[in-house]
Amino acid sequence: MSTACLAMPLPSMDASRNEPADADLVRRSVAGDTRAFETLYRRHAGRVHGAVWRLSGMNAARAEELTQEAFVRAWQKLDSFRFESAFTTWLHRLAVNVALMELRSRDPEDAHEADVLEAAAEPVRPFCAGERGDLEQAVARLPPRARAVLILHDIEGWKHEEIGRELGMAVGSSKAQLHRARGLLRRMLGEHHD
Amino acid sequence: MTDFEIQRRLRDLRGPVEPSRDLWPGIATRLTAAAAPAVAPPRRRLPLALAAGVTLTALAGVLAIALQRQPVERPLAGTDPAILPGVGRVPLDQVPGGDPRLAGATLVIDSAQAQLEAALEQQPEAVFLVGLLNRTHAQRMKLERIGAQAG
Repeated sequence: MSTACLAMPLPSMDASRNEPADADLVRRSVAGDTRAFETLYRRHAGRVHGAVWRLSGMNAARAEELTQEAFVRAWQKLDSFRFESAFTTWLHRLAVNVALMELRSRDPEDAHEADVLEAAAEPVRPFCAGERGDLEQAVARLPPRARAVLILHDIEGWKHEEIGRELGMAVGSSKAQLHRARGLLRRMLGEHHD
Repeated sequence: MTDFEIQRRLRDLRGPVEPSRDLWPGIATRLTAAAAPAVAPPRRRLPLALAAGVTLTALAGVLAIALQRQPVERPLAGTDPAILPGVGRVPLDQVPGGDPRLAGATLVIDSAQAQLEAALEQQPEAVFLVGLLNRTHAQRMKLERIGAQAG
């Protein structure tokens, strides 16, 4: 079971009114101000960690490694941030790419075979469909590629074209993986009882 | 459960999840290490070596030509023409023809050659470095000829 916990409620607007904007903090960070970058970390760690935690199959240790890696890379690449999008969007995308690197390095054909074998070997143990934690567990138990496609499409809101490009697979393969992921999820959540 | 229902419930999973511990100390350590590398990577030293090589080669050419036109004079007592301030010293037996007027040029050309060779070791595929090294060799040979004529 994961040791990660849900985010605390966001502070009120009054509390954040006097805080520096992300863009200011980015400029100071580019100039070498690590305190400014720490503020960015504190502000965005939850969102970055949430994304990589889901993509890593809710593996807390791996998600923490990926979060650290994402922020170190963000620091190294900050001078390439052009302020054309929100910093949080840029950072989130970078973090997702860091999490996908491991998956991307696998040969798609081998990965497909491994996924099929992994899914076939897993006994179907239905979860209680009504609880959020059970849904998270079911997603975590999906084969890595199917899980990545499901998370990127259904949670992160990516298009199949983007997913295909990032994971090095055809659009059709991305759609097939999504269909398969939802089917497996339905089975794990007790659909077979209907 | 329909696809729509699955999507709706998955959307609820979106959102921040705080790590179970503060990851900043580990990140800060890595940032510090990245900000102050103990030794610059070899490729970063290449432009410096190259610039030095080019400058020294050009300087050596000018010195060689200038010295060729100078009359031979006895060095002043207590001074050694084989010492070039800020560059170093070269033994007279390594100076072409043993001519003290050529000591400075010899030192500069040899230094340029050494730097170019070091740069070439770092980047063996750099054809332009080979070209510069050839020019340095040509200048060294010219210096040898001047030394032989003077001797």
